[in-house]
Amino acid sequence: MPGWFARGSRYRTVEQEPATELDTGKLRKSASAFTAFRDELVRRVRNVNDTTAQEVSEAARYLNEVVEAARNYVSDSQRALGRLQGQGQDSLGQLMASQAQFLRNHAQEMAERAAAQDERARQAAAAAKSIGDLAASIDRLAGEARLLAVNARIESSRLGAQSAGFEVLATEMQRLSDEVASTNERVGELAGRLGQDLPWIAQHARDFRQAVDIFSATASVQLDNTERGVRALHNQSTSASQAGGLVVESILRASRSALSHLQFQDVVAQELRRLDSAARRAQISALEAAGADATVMADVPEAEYSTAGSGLDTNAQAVSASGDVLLF
Amino acid sequence: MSKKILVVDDSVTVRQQVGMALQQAGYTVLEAGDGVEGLQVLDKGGVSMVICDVNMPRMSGLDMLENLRRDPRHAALPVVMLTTEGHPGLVDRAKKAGAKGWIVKPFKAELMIAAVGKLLGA
Repeated sequence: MPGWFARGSRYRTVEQEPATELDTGKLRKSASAFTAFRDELVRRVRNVNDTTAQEVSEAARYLNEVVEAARNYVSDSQRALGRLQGQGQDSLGQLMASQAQFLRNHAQEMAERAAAQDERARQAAAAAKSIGDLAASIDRLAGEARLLAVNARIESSRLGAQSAGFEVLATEMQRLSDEVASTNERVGELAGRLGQDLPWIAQHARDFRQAVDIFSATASVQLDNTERGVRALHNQSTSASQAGGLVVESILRASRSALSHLQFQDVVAQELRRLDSAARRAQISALEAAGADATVMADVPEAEYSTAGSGLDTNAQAVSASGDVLLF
Repeated sequence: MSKKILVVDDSVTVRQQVGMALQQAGYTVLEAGDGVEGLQVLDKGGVSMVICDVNMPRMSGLDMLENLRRDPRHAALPVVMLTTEGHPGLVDRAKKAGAKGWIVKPFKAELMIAAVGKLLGA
């Protein structure tokens, strides 16, 4: 077989040295050294595989823990925010809305009752005044009745014994008019007292109504503010929830990316195993070349796994690169 | 109830990595260390898809694929090969045996999840 080497500006063919006799002793020594080399190679490959597999397992476990922790955190946060956002009967939003409606209803009822009370107080004051006026009329009528009784008594005296009936009538009229006057005086007193008290009651009813109106107006404004606050909180919590989701997505992406990198351990392990297989084949060749009994290799395991690619043209171009996904 | 995916690989770390990615995507993961074990898991039923390595002890992924295709229960089961191999002869053999996809390690988890979703109609 001619060999080529450069000399000057031209290549020149030189004849190869003739083959020499094989030195079996040296070959045996080489084969033995090669066996020792392969044993060492296998030992180291296994050591590297075991160590890196262990480290990768640990790294993968930590990654999983991080992803799980992030998921749980966001899940808990979203549940809490859900309650805040009004996604259930016990949500803060629902409770506040319910309380606001309750307050509004009661403020309205109080205002209506205060207005009715005010109206009734006015009517009562007017009625008391009418009673006073009526009492004055009754008093006047009682006075007239008393005057009639006096006149009747005078007329009775002038007529003498024949007018005994007039005397009785005059006396009764006098008594009745006195009783009417006395009763009317008490009615007048009560009407006067009512006339004094009812304006005070009416004034207080007006004051109460005014207080209720102020309360209703203030409560309405405050409830509106509260509702705005709840809506703002809802929006903020929605943003926070979305941000949390994005964070978990980022963690997932980072985790998956890290997983992709961790797979290099397996790729390297497989390559090392292939190297071991190649070394084993070389070892057998060396033993055979040295005239040694290569069947001793039968005791050495062929490989730790069956190789589907054995016997194929290893120079053939791969159909895809690492990371590629082919769907048929 | 999430779909069950069987991951068959002799490497514990790869099973962990594939399993993690699938679990993160909401799938339930079953594991087997080689083709023989993989067929045993499949016999129990309930598996929606298989992701399988090629080079494994006892029974390779392609042998497992050809075996399970002979079983009428698994005739239509989607199987995706996940391997460091990229040899056209192997890919062709997998395709003829009815594999639905071929992913070369180191795989990108997102692409794998997308492929799984597509094959499972998610």
